[in-house]
Amino acid sequence: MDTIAPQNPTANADRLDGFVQGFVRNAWYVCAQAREIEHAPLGRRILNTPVLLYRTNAGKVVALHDVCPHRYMPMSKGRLVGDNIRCTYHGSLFDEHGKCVEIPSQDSIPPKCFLKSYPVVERKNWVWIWLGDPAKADPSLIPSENYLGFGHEDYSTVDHKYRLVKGRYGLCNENLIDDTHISFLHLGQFESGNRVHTMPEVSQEGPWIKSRWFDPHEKISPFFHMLFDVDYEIAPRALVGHFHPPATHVVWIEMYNPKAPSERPRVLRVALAFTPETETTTHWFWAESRNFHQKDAAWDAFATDTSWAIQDQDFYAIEAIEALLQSGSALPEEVSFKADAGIMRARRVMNQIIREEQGQ
Amino acid sequence: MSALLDGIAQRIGACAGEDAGVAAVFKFDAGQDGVLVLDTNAKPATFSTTDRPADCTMKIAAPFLMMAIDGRVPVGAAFMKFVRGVQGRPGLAVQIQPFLRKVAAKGRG
Repeated sequence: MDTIAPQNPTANADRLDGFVQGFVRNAWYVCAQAREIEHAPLGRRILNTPVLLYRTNAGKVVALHDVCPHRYMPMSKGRLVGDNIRCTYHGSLFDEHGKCVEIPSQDSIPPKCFLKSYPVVERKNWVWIWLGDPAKADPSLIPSENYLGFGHEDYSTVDHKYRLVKGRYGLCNENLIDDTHISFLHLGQFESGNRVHTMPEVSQEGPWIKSRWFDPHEKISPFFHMLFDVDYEIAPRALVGHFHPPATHVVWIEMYNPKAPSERPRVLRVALAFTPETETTTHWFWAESRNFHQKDAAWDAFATDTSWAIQDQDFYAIEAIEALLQSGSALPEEVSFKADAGIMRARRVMNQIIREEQGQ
Repeated sequence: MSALLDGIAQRIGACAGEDAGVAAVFKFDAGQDGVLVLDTNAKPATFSTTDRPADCTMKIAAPFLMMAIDGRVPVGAAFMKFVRGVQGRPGLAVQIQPFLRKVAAKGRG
């Protein structure tokens, strides 16, 4: 597992008061792409908790604490015996529920010899895990796959990918909520650069923090001419972002026909899930779908290439900021702009959830 | 025509026998370096550096087109970053990319 240990996670603590600190535990997080989990042990750290993932012979996903209680060997280093997992160090064998069923060197099994089991739900491309109070693990809290763009009859999935980002999940969340960076970090690719001058509408509905940026007269970039297969010079265009705290985003671009604006727009929909690995590293899950040129391999490849190239620029910014936060360098007081309304609202909501969970 | 565009033409020409998967006339307009016209209506595809009307014209500087077809930058990402204008049918600029990926793969050996 490519884990990056924080150099100095408490550096500049007094300058990070505005940042989201800590994790929400009572929430569903994406722990893996469905295709990553096979009938073989996979170790992944989630919210700083080592988790073992594997599939039974029947295909069911199992999530257990990835620590043998005997001598703390990671169970993911072990091997599957049928649907059970055997520790590679001293051979203790645990079933898919975490119950110890064999200790080779003795007949009795101590009552504390078990692996904690976590609720998991597999939904299309993603597998979700709940590390908090299992009694609260209600699968209906997971955003529907149609909403994420998986399996919706009007959409076909382009692709889905994963990367471990060397940056805290708060930076990842804020990157997605923040529209104005698009005119600079992604200069010339998304749009004509005027987004920075028009503010998005920000609202909140239930757990969702929503923003919608709309320009009725957007100058369409060559990239969007190709990506959306349109030849409009000027067209109405929207960028919509929905954030489901603590870690799920759905973002979509609507491209309208300027000659028939009431027609259904061409939509490219991106679902992202940012699962904290540690305080300073994040599992970044991406999936994309669209409602035009469905199941067209050429557009799938183009969308994957370009979406991942854009995200590479986001990784660059997030990892540069994280490195600075951990460097111990003195930082100035953080300044926010009017355009940061969505970010500030997200921080307030997140900090409130964390405070409530911690009983403060 | 520049030496760079000539090198691009040679790389694409080496793959002319590959199935392009789309039948149309494509023009890469490299400004002062000249143009490269790829006609996939013909089997095998033909290419030339003589200007002519095309179904899809992409404005892209020769060094950036080379980056795409020698595999230094993924073809799609190169089109996103470096194509500065598309004339004609813009969707064709996506449909020709699988062929250019074959060119890039062949260049990598």
